[in-house]
Amino acid sequence: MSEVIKSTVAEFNITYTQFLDESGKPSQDLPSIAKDFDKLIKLYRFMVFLRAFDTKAINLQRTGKLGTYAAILGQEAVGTVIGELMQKEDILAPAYREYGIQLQRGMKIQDILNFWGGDERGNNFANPHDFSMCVPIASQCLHAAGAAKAVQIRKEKRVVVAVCGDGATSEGDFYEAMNVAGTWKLPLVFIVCNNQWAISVPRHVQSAAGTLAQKAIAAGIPSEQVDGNDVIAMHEVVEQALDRARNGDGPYVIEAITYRLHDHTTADDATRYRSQEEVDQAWQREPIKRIHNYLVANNKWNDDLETKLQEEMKAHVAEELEGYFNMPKPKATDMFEHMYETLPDALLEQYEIVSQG
Amino acid sequence: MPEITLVEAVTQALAYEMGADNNVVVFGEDIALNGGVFRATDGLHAKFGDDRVFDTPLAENLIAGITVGMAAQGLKPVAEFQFMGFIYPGFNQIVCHAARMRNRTRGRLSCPAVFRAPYGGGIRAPEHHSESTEALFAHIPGLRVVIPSSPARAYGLLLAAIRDPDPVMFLEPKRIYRHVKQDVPDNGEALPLDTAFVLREGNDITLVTWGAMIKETLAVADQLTNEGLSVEVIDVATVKPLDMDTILQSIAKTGRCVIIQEAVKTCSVGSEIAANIAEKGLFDLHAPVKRVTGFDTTMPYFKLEYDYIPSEARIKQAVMETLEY
Amino acid sequence: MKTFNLPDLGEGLPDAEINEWHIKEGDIVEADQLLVSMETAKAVVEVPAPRSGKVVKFYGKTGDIIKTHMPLIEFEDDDGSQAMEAHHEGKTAATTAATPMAISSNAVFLLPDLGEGLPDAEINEWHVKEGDEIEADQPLASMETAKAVVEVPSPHSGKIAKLYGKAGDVIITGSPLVEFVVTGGAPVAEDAGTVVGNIEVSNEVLRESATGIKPMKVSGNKIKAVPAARILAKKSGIDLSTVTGSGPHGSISVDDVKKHLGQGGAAVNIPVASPVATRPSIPGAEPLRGVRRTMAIMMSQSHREVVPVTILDDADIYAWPKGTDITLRIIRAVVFACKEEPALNAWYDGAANARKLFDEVNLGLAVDSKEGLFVPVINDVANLDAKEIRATVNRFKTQVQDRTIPQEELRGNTITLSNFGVFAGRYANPIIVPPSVAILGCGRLREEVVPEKGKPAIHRVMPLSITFDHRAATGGEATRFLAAVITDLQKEN
Repeated sequence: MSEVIKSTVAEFNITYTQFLDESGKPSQDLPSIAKDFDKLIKLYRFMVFLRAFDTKAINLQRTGKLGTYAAILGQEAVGTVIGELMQKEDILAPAYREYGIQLQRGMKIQDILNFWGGDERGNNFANPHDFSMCVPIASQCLHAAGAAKAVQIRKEKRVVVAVCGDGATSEGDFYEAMNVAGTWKLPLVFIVCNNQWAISVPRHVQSAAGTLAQKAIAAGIPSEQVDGNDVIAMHEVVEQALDRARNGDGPYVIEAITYRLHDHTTADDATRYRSQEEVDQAWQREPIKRIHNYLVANNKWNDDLETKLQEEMKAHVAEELEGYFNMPKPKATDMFEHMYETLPDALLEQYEIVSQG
Repeated sequence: MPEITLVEAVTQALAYEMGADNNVVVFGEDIALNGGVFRATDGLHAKFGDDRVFDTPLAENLIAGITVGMAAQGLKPVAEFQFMGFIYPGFNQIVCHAARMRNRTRGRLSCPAVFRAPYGGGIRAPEHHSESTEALFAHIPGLRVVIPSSPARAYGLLLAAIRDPDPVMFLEPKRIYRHVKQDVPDNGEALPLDTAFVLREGNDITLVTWGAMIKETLAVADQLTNEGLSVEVIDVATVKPLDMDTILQSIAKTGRCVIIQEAVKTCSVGSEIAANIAEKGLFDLHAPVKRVTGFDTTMPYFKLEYDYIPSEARIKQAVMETLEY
Repeated sequence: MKTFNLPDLGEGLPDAEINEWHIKEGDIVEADQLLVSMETAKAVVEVPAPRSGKVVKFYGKTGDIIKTHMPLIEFEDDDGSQAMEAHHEGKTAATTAATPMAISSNAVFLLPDLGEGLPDAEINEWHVKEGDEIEADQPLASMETAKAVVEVPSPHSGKIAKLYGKAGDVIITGSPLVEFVVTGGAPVAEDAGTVVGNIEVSNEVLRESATGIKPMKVSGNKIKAVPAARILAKKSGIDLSTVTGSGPHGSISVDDVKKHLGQGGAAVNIPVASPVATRPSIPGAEPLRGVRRTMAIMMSQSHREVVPVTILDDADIYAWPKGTDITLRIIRAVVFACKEEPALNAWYDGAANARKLFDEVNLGLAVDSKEGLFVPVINDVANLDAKEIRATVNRFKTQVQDRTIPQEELRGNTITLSNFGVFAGRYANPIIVPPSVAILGCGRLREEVVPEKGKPAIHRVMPLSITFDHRAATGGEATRFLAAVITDLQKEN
């Protein structure tokens, strides 16, 4: 019997982009952003601010002043760059670890702490259209698709950015959102912040796919991987995807490779399921030191500036904590105030029980 | 005068509101060129085009999720689920997002959406096409659950649902989609949500029902009226939130109540009504409240569906037992 | 089993059109050989033979529409014992579907010629009524023709939507006699309108307003008010639509409601009947029904709640010209008195101790009937002219007697008039039905010796009895009201 001839009807490849290696040295020719030191310093300062805040938030939880908190330790570059590149009128559909983006789009530290501090007012932040943090995993991807459809129907030049984790790519919502974004050619950029761990489940248990980026291929939309701890690579890749979507060329999927250096949340203990050795290695790749080394190597940063910056950011965070600490407990009747635009008559009796304390 | 069916009244309301409000968009499976499998969106695509009337990929969770996204960004989406039996993949989006959007953002975002779904049995359909699970949604704070029972109420209540600033489950009793016709002027006048409708006034007994069971209930009421009894019939219409005031006022007058629903008995809308009567109307009662419901069984395939759906005989027997108590 | 009935070619399809026969009458066919292509609402479907045998008859030609479960072809009866699955299935469907699928054609049954060339027939008696589920051949009506009384049977089973005519009416041959509710028989070749199952279709027209008889409760959602304000309003019996909001977007605050209450914002409560004993304690007593029962409940409620005071006086109507319409004059006097003293044209909510005065006079007229007491209401009577009032009064009398008075005309009276003197009785203590606060009764007119310029004279007088609720009005207000009634009655015109 002769061999069966099967012709190739589809092929794909997924690229990976990195400009700065772990130590902050160029691993290839650098793009123009690498010479825009003002911008790089701005991004660096913001990442330091984020880490100062993150460290403080963990401490607040450890001292009983905050509920469960999901840290972003080690993932600062992803959010910092997305927040930098999104336009004010764009729409963000975040998961619950996107403070780096949100703090650049109207959310304040006080809002984030309110959210984790058990107070819905944290979701009532100063941005009229961004979605609030989304806990049920990947469902925000469909909100993003709906928002992008609204943008498309109104023929607006806005881009919707959906951010989710590696675990979320196993959810139907993620696939469904990519699928519809492809077929409707929506102005929607998906950014998978692959921090290697979905609580205790590592990336390879999550999926047998070689990359998460390639999941986009099935939806007929382009995708790529990028070093999510490399500010310069992130900037290149995200900027391109946003421009593309804004120009009507459709959706895009970016898999940003990073690492969750902290526990999943303050209630989690990652030592139960991963080795200290793995975490130590991941610390070598973390994003802040990398850009710091690059700036120092280019004589744009030094120890004096660094010391000052650290002090400045700690003070800045401390200042913003006041608002959180001074926030009065909501009235019990607040439970009812926003259930419906106008509270139905049927709920008045229950409202009264609460209003009488 | 144009006399139209319930399903045509749905179309008429959609067309009216799409004409009046550019933010209203209609989508779902097979709803554009095909006009929906029950023809509820017939002609809308031709009239309003691709941007306003479009087919989605075949994924109910997707339909629910993009509805939330569109509504939060200022559109007024009206999503069709082809059958209520297929709505459950979208349950997460409806419960975790649509119902909570306004509350969790303290009003910063909201979800002014309508989730339409044909529901209930009695049309000899295959499996998964005949259940009545309105109680699943009636359980969820933040939602409204509205069920029309006549062409005029379908028109007026759907307009109200689209105009409502909060998410509404609009469940259409498909058994009576074409059961009767009614003169429904296309005047854009909405009916009030959260309000029960008294279809017959009477003094001897109150029959409380909604959806397709209106058909059998009114038939029984008319029989009893011919026999000299005075029967009050209430169409609950909005099963969440419940207009208990109307029901309790009626019971204060009649002292007797039978609740008729197609859904299973346990933890149902009928249970809730009965519980409210026990809490607030006990001393008006001359007889225990009775419920005539579907059974606590899986909805049978269609050979037995009319053994499952409350019959006129079952309703009448319950009424007589209540009257003679 | 020689007739092959058209099976349901989809899911609940009512019929199919013959596209093309692949065989001809007289052919001998094998089981599963394709007989005919049929076009349904959804697709063209090839129909195979259910069995082998000789086909002796087609029940249609290309373009004809065959209804589901109706004959398609007939085989020669060479093997009667052979069970035919499709036929059997069809039969099952037709019998089990007593509900949705049974009948299909002839929604309207036209009166056939009951003799030989008879032009018409008179309905003697109906044996069925609208809404009845009847069997084929069940007698519909006995009809009297020029020749005989004939029983007319039903042409098929089904539910009766409409009877054309009542006993004594003459129906022309060939005109509609009975209309059936069409079930499952969508108009020929029309879209089935579903992908699954079978949606019952009917041309029955519902005569019902969208809102039913009355939406008992007006949704609070139309008025913007904070929940606490709505709770207070509900407890105080305040109608929020009468409160002016001072909050954002005109929303009503608690203070707004309190302010309104302070201004004498009045309560509106629809009276609620009290429970009555279920089983009569008097052996053989018949429980009251309908209007009489309502009357009993209302009167008990009145007795429990109202604090009545009745005042008696006479009006001298000597000056009236002959032929004066007594009822109209009394109504005019009440309207006049309501203007002079508005306190009695009001509603009172005892639970909330709140009252509401009305600008318009909605006059309830107590009308006696065999069934019990009716109180139809002339709305805004002050703005009707005499002719309109008279017409309304007459209409009420007729409608009460034949029980056709609409429910919505039996509510909303702000004050009530009882002209009991038509029968007998000089004075009475008329009973107030809450929430109204006053009722005026007029007794039998009589001649009375009255002093006229110091000499006795005989004048016609009208005895008046007014009862007012002393919770809602003062004695001064009531007597001023009565004085105004008398003043107006004593005018010549």
